[in-house]
Amino acid sequence: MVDHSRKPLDRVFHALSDPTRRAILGRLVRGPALVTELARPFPTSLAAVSKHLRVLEAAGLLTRRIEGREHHCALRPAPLRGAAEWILFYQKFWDSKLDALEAFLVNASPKPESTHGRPRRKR
Amino acid sequence: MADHAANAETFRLEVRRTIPRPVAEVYAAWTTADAIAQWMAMPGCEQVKVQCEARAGGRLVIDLVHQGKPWREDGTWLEVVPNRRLRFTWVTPETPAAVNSVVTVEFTDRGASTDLTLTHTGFPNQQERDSHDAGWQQIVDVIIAAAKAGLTVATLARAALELQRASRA
Repeated sequence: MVDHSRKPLDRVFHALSDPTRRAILGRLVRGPALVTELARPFPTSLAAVSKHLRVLEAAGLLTRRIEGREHHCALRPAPLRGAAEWILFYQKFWDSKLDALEAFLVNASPKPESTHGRPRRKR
Repeated sequence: MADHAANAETFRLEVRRTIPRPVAEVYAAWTTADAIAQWMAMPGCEQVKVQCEARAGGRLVIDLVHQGKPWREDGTWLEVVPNRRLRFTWVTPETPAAVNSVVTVEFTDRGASTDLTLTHTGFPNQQERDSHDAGWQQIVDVIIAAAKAGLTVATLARAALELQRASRA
């Protein structure tokens, strides 16, 4: 099984499930930004954006450095690896299941001519 | 569920196969408890119990013991169209709570063989699904590509630039 504990992954998927937060991450991919810069594209209040930033921080996707009154935010991509690994795990999972399905069906009722047929296609 | 816009997905992955058996056999292997127990269970698991009521709203539950630990794959059929299409919710102990996981299997009759397309998608869960936005799958693809390349700010940024270029083209 995938080697990770569930809770951090839950937080990452929760963080990624909101379009505003995804847009913020999309902005941070281009480089660090001030909270005020991050809030600018959104019609919502600064307080609402701050709430989103806290969710990203809880998921470990955002780091914040405070200098006087300025909050500098930066992307911390490491937790995304867990999310990507989870998705890749299921890619392999279904790949192996469909291999097993094919083996099951081919072995369950072998056709005599199948030994002379074209090789089984597999990706 | 059905009115989920495709662009509201948290992730989507797709696996294709051509199975050298007629569609009715392949469909039966997906909808018969005895068959499911034989191919769907983890290799080397100790006990397998499958509950399968192949109708919309019916249950699809696979209980097994793997390395001494119980494991349950828990689902409900959403769509059952014989020899054409199956869709079911699918939750394992590894599924994050924030994800509604749905599997779609499409069967294409090729005479002696069957083309299968399996799509596993995640949707934001109940509280989170009301927000829809475009292009998320592209971002997921970027994250996966970046993860494969070793996830750093640099690989993510490069992937994001490619994404922007692609969306302008």
